[in-house]
Amino acid sequence: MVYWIACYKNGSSIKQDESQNYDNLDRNNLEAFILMFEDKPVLTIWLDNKQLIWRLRREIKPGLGEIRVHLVGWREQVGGQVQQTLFYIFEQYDNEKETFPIIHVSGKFDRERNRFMNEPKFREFEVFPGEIYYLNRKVKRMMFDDNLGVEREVEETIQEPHIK
Amino acid sequence: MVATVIILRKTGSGPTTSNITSINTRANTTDIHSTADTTAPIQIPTDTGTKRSFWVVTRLQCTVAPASLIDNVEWYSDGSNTFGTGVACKGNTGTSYTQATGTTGDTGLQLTTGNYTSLTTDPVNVFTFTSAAPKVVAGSTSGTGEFADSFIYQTEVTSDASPGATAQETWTWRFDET
Repeated sequence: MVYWIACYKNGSSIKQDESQNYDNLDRNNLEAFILMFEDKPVLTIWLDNKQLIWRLRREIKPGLGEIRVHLVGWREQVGGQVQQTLFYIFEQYDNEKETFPIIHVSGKFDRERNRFMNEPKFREFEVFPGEIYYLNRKVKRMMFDDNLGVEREVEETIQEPHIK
Repeated sequence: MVATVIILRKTGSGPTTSNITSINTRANTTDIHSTADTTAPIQIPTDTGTKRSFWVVTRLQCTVAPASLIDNVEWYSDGSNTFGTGVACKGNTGTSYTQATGTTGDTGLQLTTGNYTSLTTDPVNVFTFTSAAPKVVAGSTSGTGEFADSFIYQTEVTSDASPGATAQETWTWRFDET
């Protein structure tokens, strides 16, 4: 499968699933973000102080299988406007064997062009001042249980929009 | 490691959960998951009325947690009803589980916000939820267990329907992971 390696300016690197997750990358010292397939680089993004964005976008169809797409790219401010360059790396399979992925490049989120090109819920470190990002918070609330006929407490994670 | 996410169908008073990620599930007039049961069909009404399946409650479950987060959950159909003439399907999201009821072998209780109190709004034609305009399913997770709202749907049959099993439809769940 496709996975990433984050490379820092001091020469160190972190492979996906090792020690740090995407949210905890040290973005101030990130030099490059590499997407790998079978231990070979598929795409290298030199960040040059741009805001990295990455998601593994998954689509599950019961009984038919799953499609996985890596959304990766950067966002930057140019002349007061936010611009972005986005790559969509579609994992490919020939029967059970994974084959080289297909890559689409786009400048905007546009789900009508391609259903995988919808906008993610941005994290704070992915947006610029004035843009919306989402924070996750665990909350407990009372809910009426139709089966038991009583209210009971449930815990859930909610996402709250904030403006940076 | 990529999270392991499965799709559940919930039935019974427990409720019982069935993993339907790799299989189909049948919407008929019993509150039991099956892939091919024919003992509890939805009857075709002889008048202007409507017969319904028991409602089907589906939800995502994470069995291996993501490294960080799963969010941006969506649900959609292919936008085209191929169940056939006289067969519709309505659904919506709900924040908790309510067991389906009705008359086994005949018709299910209608899916409404009155009968399923945690339904976000009254059910709509599920074929209006498409890849370009999906139903947003509230919720996210950073751990294991069931997460996000459920999607609940119900098949409706009118007198112009044909006997026998309908063609199969596929619903899609989509989400982002980090």
